[in-house]
Amino acid sequence: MGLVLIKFLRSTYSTLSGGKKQPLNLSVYNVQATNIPPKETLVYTKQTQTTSTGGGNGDVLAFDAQGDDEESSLQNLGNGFTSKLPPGYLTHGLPTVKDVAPAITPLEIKKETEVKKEVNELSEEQKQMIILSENFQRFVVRAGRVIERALSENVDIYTDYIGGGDSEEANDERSHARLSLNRVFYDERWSKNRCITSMDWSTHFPKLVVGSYHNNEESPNEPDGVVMVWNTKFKKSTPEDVFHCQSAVMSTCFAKFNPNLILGGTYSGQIVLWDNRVQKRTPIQRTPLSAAAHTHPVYCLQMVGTQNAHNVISISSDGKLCSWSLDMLSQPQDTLELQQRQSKAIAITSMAFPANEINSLVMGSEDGYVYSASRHGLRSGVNEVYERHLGPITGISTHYNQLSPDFGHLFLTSSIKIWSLKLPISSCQFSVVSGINSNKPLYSFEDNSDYMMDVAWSPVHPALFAAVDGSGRLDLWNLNQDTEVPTASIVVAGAPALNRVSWTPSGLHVCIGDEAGKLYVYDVAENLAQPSRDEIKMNQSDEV
Amino acid sequence: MSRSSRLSVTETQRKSTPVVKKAVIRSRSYDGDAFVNLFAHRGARDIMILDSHGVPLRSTCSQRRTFVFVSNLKPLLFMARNVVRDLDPSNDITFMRIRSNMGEIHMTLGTDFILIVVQKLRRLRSSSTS
Repeated sequence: MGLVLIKFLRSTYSTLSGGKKQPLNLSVYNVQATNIPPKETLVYTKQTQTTSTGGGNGDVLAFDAQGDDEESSLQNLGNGFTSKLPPGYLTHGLPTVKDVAPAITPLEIKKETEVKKEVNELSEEQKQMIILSENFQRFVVRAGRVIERALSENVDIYTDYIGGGDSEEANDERSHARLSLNRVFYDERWSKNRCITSMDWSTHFPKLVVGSYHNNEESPNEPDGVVMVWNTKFKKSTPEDVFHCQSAVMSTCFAKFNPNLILGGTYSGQIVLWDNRVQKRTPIQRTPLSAAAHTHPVYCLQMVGTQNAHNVISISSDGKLCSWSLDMLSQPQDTLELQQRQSKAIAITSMAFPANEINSLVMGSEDGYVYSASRHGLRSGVNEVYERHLGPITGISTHYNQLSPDFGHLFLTSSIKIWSLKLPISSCQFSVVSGINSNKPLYSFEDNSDYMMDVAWSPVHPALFAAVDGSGRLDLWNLNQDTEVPTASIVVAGAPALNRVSWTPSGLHVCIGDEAGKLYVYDVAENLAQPSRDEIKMNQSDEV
Repeated sequence: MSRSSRLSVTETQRKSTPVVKKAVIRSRSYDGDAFVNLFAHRGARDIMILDSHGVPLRSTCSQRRTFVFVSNLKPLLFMARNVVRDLDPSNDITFMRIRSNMGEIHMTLGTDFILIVVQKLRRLRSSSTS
């Protein structure tokens, strides 16, 4: 810059000296004077543009801009005044293009170094801190379940259906069988050597079944009572939830109007409440062990009522019936002493409410008698006594549709057979409606040769019920077809002693619990599970 | 058999003995490892748990193999999350599954942690064939 200025000064000196000699030289001097200011303004403008790029790279670009400036100034001298604007635009474009390329490279290098450092960021102690946090444990449990469901579904979308005949044949085989084993629920740690004492199906999630387990005599250090929730929808072989109790759980049921609560009746007489939203496995609430509540094993536990008014009904083996509210388990709302006429306590072993009934119930006792009782009203207490079985009653089941004129007024009982000189009775039907000879059994099914452990009506078929016995046999009886032999019968593999039977709410599966802790789900053929048109028509015509 | 072989393979892959001892001792102290053993029993080959930034916290395979998986899957996971968020800002990704000829990779993305399970498929194919 300085050199250029010096040159300009020398030229001005030469012009001044020439002017003194001749007066015409003055006009030439004026012309040269007008050229100087525009050049200076151009130089300053370009310097301002180069500094705006900033950074170390900006300096390099500034030098390039100066070079362009010199070229443009030379062009201006050669072309005259009219060619100033186009060279200015050209010089504007070049620096920005150069600015983009070098800006990316150093940032990429920095990012790569950051990535490498990030992998080794946490130390071993920090990892342990994170691993032992509650957040981590919760994530492991939940994510583990999701992954297990995904792993258990062996759906192969690449299956070649050209060879689909095999699967069709398999389907044909299944359609012929009336009872087929769907799956077995068993957990090596929690189910081993534990007798299944009760089962229940969730109303909110119809695919979940809860089973309560007795204590494992070979593991005295494990908790006596275990309750597990199984998922029949996914091919998952582990329970969805596992709950503990220090006393053996004799009965369990889902809280009908709360999808997260599970109730259990224990051997000690307490009624416990679990919540699957809580991470721990112990009960969140329990009833007190006092004379106001139960002090004997609670074999009967059921929720009755509607959405806005429901109670938990529990009966212990000393004949005490308690009504509880889920909001307050510290004291029963109502108690009822179930006694015979001689003021003797009745040892209740099983209980059933008719569908949509909250007042009347039927009960089976240890001495073989069947009782019907009312909770409220003038005749509260035991109303009627039905003829006795020859052994303790193990199960009782009422019809799902009390309005059906065919079998709606009947209930089923199963009992342990005691051989004697009398005719042995294993499973009987009684009539709930009082009438002539109503206290006597209408029929006794004597096809089994072992203890009848449980019986259950189908929830959709008016004439179908399932029964299990101690020799591992599952029988399906259809009263419209035959009353001498079961319609379908199957012996569970290994012939374990079966303890409980229940139907899925859809009526298409039968769920069995045995004494070794295995919970079986059997598929019932659709032509057997669903009532036929004749049966539906018959029921409708009778109703009319 | 598969369980014992799984444990032996894990031990051989780990280089330093004290780390193995610590891992074995700690793995028995809480329930998290119950599902690790269960997955191994079900055919899961490797299980890794990362934090939300992609830093490995726990793994059933060697550190080298873990880094190989993490370095390859981490950009994919973050890009997948960005895709879901760009399509709908109120949405978020929860599960991804990569199915290939030899195996498949299941990824569960939570808000705080990421669970990656690598599974073999040859056994399943042979079992389905038989």
